[in-house]
Amino acid sequence: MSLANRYRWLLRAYPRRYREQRGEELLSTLLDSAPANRTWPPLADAVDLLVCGMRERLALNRLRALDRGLRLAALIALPLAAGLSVFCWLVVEPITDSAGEDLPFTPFGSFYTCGPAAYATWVLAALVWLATPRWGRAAVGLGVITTLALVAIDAVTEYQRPPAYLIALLTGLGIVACAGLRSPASLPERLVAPVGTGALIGVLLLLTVLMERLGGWSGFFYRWTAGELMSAGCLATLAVMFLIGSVQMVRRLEASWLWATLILAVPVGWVAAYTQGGPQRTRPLALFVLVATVGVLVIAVKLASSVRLVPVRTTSSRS
Amino acid sequence: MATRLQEPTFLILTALADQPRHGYGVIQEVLRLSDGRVQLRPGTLYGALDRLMADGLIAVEREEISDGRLRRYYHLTDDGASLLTAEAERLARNAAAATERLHRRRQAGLPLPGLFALGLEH
Repeated sequence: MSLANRYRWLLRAYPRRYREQRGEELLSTLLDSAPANRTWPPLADAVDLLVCGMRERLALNRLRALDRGLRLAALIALPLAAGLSVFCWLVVEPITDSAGEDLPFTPFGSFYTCGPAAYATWVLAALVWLATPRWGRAAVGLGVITTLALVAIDAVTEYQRPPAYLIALLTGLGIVACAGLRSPASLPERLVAPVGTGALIGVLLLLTVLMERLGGWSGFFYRWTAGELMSAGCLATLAVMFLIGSVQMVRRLEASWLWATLILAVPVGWVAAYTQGGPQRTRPLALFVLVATVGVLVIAVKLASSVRLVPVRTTSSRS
Repeated sequence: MATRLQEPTFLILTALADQPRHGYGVIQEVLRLSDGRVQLRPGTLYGALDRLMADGLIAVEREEISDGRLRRYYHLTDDGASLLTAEAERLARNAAAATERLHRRRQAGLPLPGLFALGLEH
């Protein structure tokens, strides 16, 4: 296979309509850039084409509001993941004195599950984003990998994993953060992580104390309060984002906050539905919410991108 | 456009300011303008060109096929030239302000580490 054909194969990352319009020109530029004896595309070019192709498929290159929305969603996803992690680590996971002797499984030190191993990486990711945004995505990637590794730890060791909905939620938030975090980042963008994390922890702890006072708090995942409480925190965040987005749309005809709300609704919405009551009752609802949010996002991207296509036209004279 | 231009965007517009260039020409010129710091990958370049065309800051002037390769030449539009002028003036004002304050700092006898490296010492 020649270098040109290998580049053509990589260009399949772009949508067909884009390739028809731009493919040969892009291929020419790639070949112009390559030394005469090169037979394989450099790794940097390959990654660049795959990333830019996916951005084009998601219309991020043409839809500024969607691109800004993804960035906003990422800035909020990271403190959500870090805040939920700290809450679980400090409040939900520690084994209470009364429960310690009767556990039917091996505890992870003084914790119910091996979750703290992953929770620590989310706190680390928020701190890395604050200190050196350049490494923020890598730190979030580590958080995602460590969170998914909890499933393997559960399978091959005697330690228990946290519930699947929490693993799925942290993974989903991490994917959004990985997709949207970009450096360089301004100081306010960097500060969102620790401030948001702190605010979420504060609200969840306050609610926990209130529930303990009211006698309704049990603390462990599989009883209704922990999952519902975390889902409520995420849904409240979505509600605030939607409110900001609505005001922004009315006042400035700008949809970035609404896009951010829609993007975050994908990982948050179905988990929120799942944690409302017993799994038998809520699994169909959670599946419906997942399909609905993904469907609405895909349709919105398709509709928005179809009205903003920019044709490549040759001008007869300079304007 | 009220927002500040990112450096790669500023360099692409600068590369097209004096003459139309095709994609590879823009990559080479940006590399030259930035003293080798900014190396645009083709995928990134065409994403930026699409955005600049959508904003009416650049346009395609002509197409050529040479050695079986399609080359489109881009030029700066009047809107693009206005934006680049405004951004260059803003950067020049910022640089002048920084130079003046550093000059005052030196007159006050305060140290200026790395002054020679920055090229501010005359």
